Amino acid sequence: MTNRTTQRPHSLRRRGMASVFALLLLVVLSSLAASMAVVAQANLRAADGALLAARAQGAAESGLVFAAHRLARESSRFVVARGVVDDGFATRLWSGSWTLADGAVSVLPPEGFDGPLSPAGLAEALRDAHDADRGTFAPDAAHGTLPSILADGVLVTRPLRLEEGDDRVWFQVTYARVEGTPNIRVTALGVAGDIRRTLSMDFRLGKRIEYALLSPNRVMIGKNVLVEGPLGTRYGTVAGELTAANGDPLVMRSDFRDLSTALDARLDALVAAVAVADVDGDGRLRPAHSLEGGDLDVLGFTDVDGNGFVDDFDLFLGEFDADGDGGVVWDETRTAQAGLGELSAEFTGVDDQLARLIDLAVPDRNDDGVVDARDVRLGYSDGVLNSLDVYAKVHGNLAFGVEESAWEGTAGEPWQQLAQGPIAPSDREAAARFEVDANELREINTDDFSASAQWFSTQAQSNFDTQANAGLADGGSHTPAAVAPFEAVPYGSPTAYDFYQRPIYEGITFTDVRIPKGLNALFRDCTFLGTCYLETETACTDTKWNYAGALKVVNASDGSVSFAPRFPSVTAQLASTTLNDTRPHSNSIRFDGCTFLGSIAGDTPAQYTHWRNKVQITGATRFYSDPDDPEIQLQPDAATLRAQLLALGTEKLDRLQRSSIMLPGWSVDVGNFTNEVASDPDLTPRVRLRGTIVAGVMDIRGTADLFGTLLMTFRPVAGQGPLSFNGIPESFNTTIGYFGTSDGDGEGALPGDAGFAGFGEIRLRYDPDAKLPDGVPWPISVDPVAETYREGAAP
Amino acid sequence: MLRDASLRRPSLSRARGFTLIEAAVATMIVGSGIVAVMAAHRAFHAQNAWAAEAATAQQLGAEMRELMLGLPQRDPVTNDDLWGSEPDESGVGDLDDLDDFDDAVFDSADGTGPLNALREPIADMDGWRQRVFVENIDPFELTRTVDDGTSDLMRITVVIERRTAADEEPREFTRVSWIAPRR
Repeated sequence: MTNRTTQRPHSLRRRGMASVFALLLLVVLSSLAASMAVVAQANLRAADGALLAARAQGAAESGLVFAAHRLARESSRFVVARGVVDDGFATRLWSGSWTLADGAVSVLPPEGFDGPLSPAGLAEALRDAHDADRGTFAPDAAHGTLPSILADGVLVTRPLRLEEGDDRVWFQVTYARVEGTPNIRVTALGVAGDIRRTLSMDFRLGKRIEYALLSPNRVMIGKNVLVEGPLGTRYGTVAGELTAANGDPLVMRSDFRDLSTALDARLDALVAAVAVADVDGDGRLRPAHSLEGGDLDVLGFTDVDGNGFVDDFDLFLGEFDADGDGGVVWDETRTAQAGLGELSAEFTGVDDQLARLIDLAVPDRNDDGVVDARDVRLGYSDGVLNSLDVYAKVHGNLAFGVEESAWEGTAGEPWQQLAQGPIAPSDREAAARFEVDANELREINTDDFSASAQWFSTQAQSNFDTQANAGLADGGSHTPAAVAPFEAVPYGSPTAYDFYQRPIYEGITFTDVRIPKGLNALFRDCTFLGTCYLETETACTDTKWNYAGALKVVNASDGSVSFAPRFPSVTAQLASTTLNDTRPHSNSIRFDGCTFLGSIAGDTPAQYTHWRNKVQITGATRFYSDPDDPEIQLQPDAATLRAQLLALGTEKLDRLQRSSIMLPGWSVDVGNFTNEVASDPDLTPRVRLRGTIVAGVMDIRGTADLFGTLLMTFRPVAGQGPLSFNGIPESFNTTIGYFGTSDGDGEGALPGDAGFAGFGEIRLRYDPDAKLPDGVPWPISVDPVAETYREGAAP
Repeated sequence: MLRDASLRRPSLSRARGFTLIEAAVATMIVGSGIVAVMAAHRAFHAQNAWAAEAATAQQLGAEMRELMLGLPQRDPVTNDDLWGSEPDESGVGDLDDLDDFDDAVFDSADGTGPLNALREPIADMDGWRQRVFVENIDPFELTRTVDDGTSDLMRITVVIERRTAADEEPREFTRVSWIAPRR
């Protein structure tokens, strides 16, 4: 069968098909071209969009950085006495609604722009600063009324150009309080063309004194003392303070002195080389550095521990590393326990306290919150001194008010010969800074703490005898002063300036107690819950207050010892009353092996009278105020301590945690000259101080662990107070560690002297989280809260 | 076997060729189409090349930004006393503060660049270079430059340029700019 309908059309009907094919091909080519155009345009748009997005992101980041800078700068104008910036105080600071209960708030004048001298609050200060910006513009009419504080307290600022004449790239920032926190939230909008990016981050308002030690008097850091944190002193900025003899703002002794004569000689050579070549002031020399490393080969110094520096520790390793393995074994038992095998001791019996100090420094080496075998693998308590211990005399930086050339010119030698030992500064910080501004390195005095002292005063009860009698009934003991032995002041000093017969209270628990003036007692193994408040006569301004009634030791030819008035004819005036002895009107107290679950505070003497108003802390005295302090768990009576702290209540603990010692104007000695060391060194009594410690002048010797900030209040002035009788300012110094008379510390003895008993073992660590007591006038600080960083607009 | 006449191939004698006019018109149409496509292709290629180079330039800017972002404004030792790299800072690894980078050029031509964030020259980046400008700016007028070392705010600008064989002078592809405060 044939189907005609399926036959192909006649060829004549195919005429013109070439044009059709050509047109079809043209359509294909056009489509191809169109798709290429689309793809190319898309690529172009993508690349252009990416560039704009990057610029918008950059603008937003610049806005965030700019706002953080502006916020920090304006916040620092607010100098506050209140110690803690909480949600409520932050709100009042922001709005300017602080009250008398918040303590003094002073606002410094604006810097860099002409604005109102006294803005009502931080929000207004920021607004004024943004109002002074000259690079602002208004992309649309709504921006014309900015900067403005909205009804809800949010500050909205005007857009700022990043490039002159370029209105396509700009940023705008807003500031808002974050309720329930002391934070300010900064939101930065970055714009590039039509692309917008938004970033936000919170910044915490706070108050931090970023020093381990801050002092107006000179500072002495001895051998066997490690410091973690910055040190600051304004000594030397007043005429007459700098002297060639001992008037140095800072004296530091190398930890490796007095170990061997040969090492001392090499340390001398290193100190001389550091004084010449150390361009960054860190007490170390870098072998790879063109200037610092120049003479190291000639001097024969090598970087033994391989940390990139030649310092005291390298010389020590070179001296005692007998097997040349880069480490010095000091405790074979610990090396075995650490799994390092049976290594031979290389440094035993020379200075075990130094070895312990270095090897046991920074227990939590991996910073994971627990001390375990991993930390031992990182060098903690492994019985070997090596690079794992990351040794430095000071992990932090030094801040001086004095001019470097003034100090060196008076001393007649480079300051690095006086302040010896390697300094490991934090990133971006110089190891040593001079002429630090008074607003940054502030001087504090006794008046600053009147409010804090008042709080402690109201807490304490005037029932000392009642509590003491209750303690005696409960198993404590009391030895009257008349039958107690005389003891030297300072305790254990071979060059004591006074002697006391103290009543002794032992094994008694006191709660929120006032120690009456004139008690001059020794408390041994006592527990103080809450506040231990020391009363004294505040009007102790007579220049002879220190000396009226002072005793001296009299050694008879038959070998007997007696005590007689040191200055028989000296009296002191208290208003119209003449006093032959000022002891009954003062308080010199020694706490030995006591436990403080709270703070020591006291009346503030109007004059620094260190012979009479003195607190000495010896033995294994402990301070705790935080029930969650991990160190409490290491105590044998941990459960009891924690329960007693919790019973004090949250509000009270909050105040107690701000300062473990609040004794402005007092002389405070921690430790003693006898350097007691137990047969098991791990059990050596160790004074543990926590929080902000306020005193006039402080001496710390023996074995101590200090975690917080030491604030000294006494600035010695020639001819005034205790310096009335030819005294010189350099005689009053904050001493940490052991020094002798040749260093200007008249209370100490030198190695080899009869009264010398070792150098001790002291760690001073700055606690960035320490709460501050009220009273210290200090600028508001701003810290970024990293976890609050957000990209994208708020929902 | 039956044969279906409709399935038979047409006779060759019936297959007539295109006329000259048909061929000419078709050639003209196809030719102009091809020419247009070729021209478009060249333009699109140039656009794509620009897009690719812009992406590279953006990356090079980001590398420099990453490199410099964590640095302090001033040298911790010489502080404001010296602008630019300190005398003992000879290599790029020694540059430890922002003003050390002022007027620095990291160029593939001399092997110094372009750098990645780890301060290492990036391979196979012929013709590319990073130029860095660091200047202090008025904290209250961000677009105004002030004397070196006289303010707390800095503006860092990284200009990314490329010079090919056809270029007499390097061409700027992009610039990255940001603000850094004194810390």
